[in-house]
Amino acid sequence: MIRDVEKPTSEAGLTLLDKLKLLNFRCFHHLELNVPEGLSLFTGQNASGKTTLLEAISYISTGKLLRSHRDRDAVRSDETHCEVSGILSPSQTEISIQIPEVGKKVASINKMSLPKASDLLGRLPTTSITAFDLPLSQGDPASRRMFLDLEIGALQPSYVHKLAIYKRALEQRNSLLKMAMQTVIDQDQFEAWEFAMAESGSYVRQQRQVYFAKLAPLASSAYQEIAKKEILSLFLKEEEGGLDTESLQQAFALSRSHDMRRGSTSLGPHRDDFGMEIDGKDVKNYGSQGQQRSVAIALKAGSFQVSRETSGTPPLLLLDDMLSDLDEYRRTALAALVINQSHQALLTCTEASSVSNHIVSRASELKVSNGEVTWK
Amino acid sequence: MLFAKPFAELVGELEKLPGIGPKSAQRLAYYLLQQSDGQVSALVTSIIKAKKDLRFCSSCQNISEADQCPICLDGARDQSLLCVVAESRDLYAIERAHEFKGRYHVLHGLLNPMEGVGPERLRVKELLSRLESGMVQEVILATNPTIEGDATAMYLAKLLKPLGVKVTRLAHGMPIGGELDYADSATLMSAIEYRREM
Repeated sequence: MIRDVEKPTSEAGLTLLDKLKLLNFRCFHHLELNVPEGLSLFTGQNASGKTTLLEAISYISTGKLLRSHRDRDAVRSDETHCEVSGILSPSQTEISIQIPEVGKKVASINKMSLPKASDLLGRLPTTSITAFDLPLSQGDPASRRMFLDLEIGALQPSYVHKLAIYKRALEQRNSLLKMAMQTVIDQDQFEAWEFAMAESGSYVRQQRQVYFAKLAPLASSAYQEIAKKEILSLFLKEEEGGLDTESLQQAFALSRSHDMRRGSTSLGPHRDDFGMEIDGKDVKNYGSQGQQRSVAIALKAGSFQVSRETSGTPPLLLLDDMLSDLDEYRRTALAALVINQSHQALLTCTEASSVSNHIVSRASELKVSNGEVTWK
Repeated sequence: MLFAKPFAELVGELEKLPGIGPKSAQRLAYYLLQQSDGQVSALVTSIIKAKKDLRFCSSCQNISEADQCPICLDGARDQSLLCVVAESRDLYAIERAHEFKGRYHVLHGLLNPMEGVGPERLRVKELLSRLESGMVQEVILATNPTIEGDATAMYLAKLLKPLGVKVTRLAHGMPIGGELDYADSATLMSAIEYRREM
């Protein structure tokens, strides 16, 4: 009860992005930006760098780029290294990712480097809704797994750790399977790696189930808000081998000879997926472009709400040009779902006029051109 | 510009050492060139001598001057307790604590199929033959709590248990004198999982 009365306490967990600094990140040479609280609207021509600003924020939030799997793609073409950093408020913590001239990216907190970039996850929770989300409803299962893994990892650091164990043990087992094609490998060796996979894998599957149980209804109702009559149903596909350590370990053991022939592991959390149906029809294969886009948005809007409900504070919202593709009705619905719920949101669009008035009226407007940002 | 051939060869040899990249190799090579002849030959002699005079202890497989190392020859040490470690440096780490009174067995590596390391590359056969006498009653698996360390311990436990010995694993949890605030989530998770009743 006290929490409701004392406002500072109720917002104690809220993290905002105070400042964003870019050095040689994509089209930007050098940028220092005070990021406004509340809603800000970034306008500018195509290819002016609007999306890059959102990508930079998402990069220090998740450790992953939005549009590419290769970190080096983010380095400005005439440069050899780059850096993105953000100062968080109220803690004044600085989080950053550097891509050095040689070697892998280095993530750090207050200039102290972290063992892995994924250790940044959860420091600055964000939800991005961009055109790069389309693979969620159109692409292969790997895109959907990565979405779940990043979302769960941001809420629960131990998930990232268990997932890393699973992936490493999986790689070891796959190497062993390939070795087994040439020589005889004693079965106890398989068992050692399969135990590690089963233990971490069962944790990963259980956490995905828990997360998905929260996500599915929220994403479905978000879809209904956006698409009116249609009903979206989301379900985890059958998880071969089950959820607990023993059954998963047994399944790995049983698939051993089959896996030896193919030289890789045929079942497990690294093969899982979830299905999406609108009025009983599979979205990926039969959905229209519009439906697929709305499903991707609904999934992200759902994850925004899960994050808000789980951590008690809304994540920073990054909305890229999605509004202009939607009709007025859908725009308003989306605004009600996410924009109005967030404490800090960054929107991009080519012209402010494409955004409804009640959004523009309460937004700080900034103009992006030629790698520079100016206040309007 | 190309290096003079002898210099390039020296750099090339130094680069093969673990943890030495091209730049460190060059720095070391310059350093060696600046030393007196006496200093350089002392280094060379010590490398050759170490290589010639050292072998692996025939029972614990640790580096030793004689056929058996001082720890294995020490009659005061408990023969029923055997601590299995991955590398010699792990043995010395445990010795520094002056608490463990049993004996050791050094595997010289961990299972790692990605790098082509299977049990035949580790001193596993030697471990099994040490247990034949029936003197050892407990084997402590003290490999690091990494994925490879855990998998190797798991593999060994599977081999050893049928022989009738007690097999134990090092505990993991909070470091002594550590602060919860600074512990990483993986350590905290396992400390909670392996909590004990008071």
